[in-house]
Amino acid sequence: MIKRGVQGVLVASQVFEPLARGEASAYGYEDLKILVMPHPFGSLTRAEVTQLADDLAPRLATLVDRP
Amino acid sequence: MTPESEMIELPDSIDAVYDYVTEQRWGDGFPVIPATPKRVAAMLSASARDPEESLGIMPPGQGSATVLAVAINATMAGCRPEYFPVVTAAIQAMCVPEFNLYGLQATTNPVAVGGFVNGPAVDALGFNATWNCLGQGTRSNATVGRAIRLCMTNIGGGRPGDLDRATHGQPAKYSFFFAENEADSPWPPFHVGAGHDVGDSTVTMFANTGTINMLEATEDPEEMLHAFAVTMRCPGTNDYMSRGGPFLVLAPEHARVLEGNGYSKERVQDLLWEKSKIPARDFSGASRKYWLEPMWTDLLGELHDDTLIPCSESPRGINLVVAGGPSIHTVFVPIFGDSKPQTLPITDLPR
Repeated sequence: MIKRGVQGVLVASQVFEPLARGEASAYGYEDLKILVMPHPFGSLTRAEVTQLADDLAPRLATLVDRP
Repeated sequence: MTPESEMIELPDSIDAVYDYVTEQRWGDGFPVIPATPKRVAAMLSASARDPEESLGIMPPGQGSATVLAVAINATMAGCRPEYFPVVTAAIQAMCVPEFNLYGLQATTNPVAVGGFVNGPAVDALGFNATWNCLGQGTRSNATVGRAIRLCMTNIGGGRPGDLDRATHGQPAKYSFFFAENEADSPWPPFHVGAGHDVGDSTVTMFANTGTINMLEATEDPEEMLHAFAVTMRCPGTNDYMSRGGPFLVLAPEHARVLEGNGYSKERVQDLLWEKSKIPARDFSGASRKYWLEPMWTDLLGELHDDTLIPCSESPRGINLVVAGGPSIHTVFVPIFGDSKPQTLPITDLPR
């Protein structure tokens, strides 16, 4: 989804996927693409988050809309 | 649900309403009072507010808590109209950003919203502050707490398994509402400590994770507070993981023993805070890494095995409320942590 020239993809951990979809819908973004990743997420260290982000980047790239 | 615009025609049968509300997932599992236009109008008449006024946005569904929407839920919950200003004040308190309604609605934690009333509204509206005040049996306690939960479900979208992600939840998610027993308390009431006048009626909302009873027969204040503090030392609670702070619902008898021996609320808080600290070694490596270190390092410095972790940022973070009937039970109420209790005046009584 592109709004105001900015790409938007929602990233959520598996346990919170229904919440992510509900929240996107509540804000009127039913078509927002969501990247679902392993749970838990909130308790990871900075280094672990960085590693996870590197691992997920290729999948994230497939969800980005082309202008 | 968009109650502002929907009028549902159903057979004139309590069973039909119960079935329909269950199918729509508008309820809590128990039967509801049909929110007919007449009943909702009666509810609205108990408030001076405009029905279209929004009391706040309730996450995670981001529904606007209009006075009308809250009145419909209060009706379904079984509230008498005179309770309605308490419900609206409670919803306003929960919509204060520091209450973090988003976090406690959407978390996997079992957190429930609890609340209590102070001031003249306690007797005027028949809230139970004495025998079994945290339990069943009083319409005002039961239905105000239930109305709050129904608003969280229908306005805030917190339906189990959907936007409410609680792993287990807890019974207090049906209803957890009571009143402080000011008449039997030797200390100034809770709402005075929160900055309100003693003659004000207020509602205090807090995010809790259950109740633990503490039976204590001693009349020695040091022994009593030691026993309470040891019970509070639960490494798995969010008090320690998320900087607290817990509530203690003190039996009037316990409060009188403490006050009679010269213990002010502040002295009790100071002692409980010191005595309830847990050494970091008692937490798992994962808890230390993921929770304690990010949460506490700025206040406590680098954590070592013998670093003492408190249940709140400061002694004043331990909240003391006096309630209940006679006998020697005090209730420890662990807190969600990432949520600041809110005390608001009950202001929208009819003109």
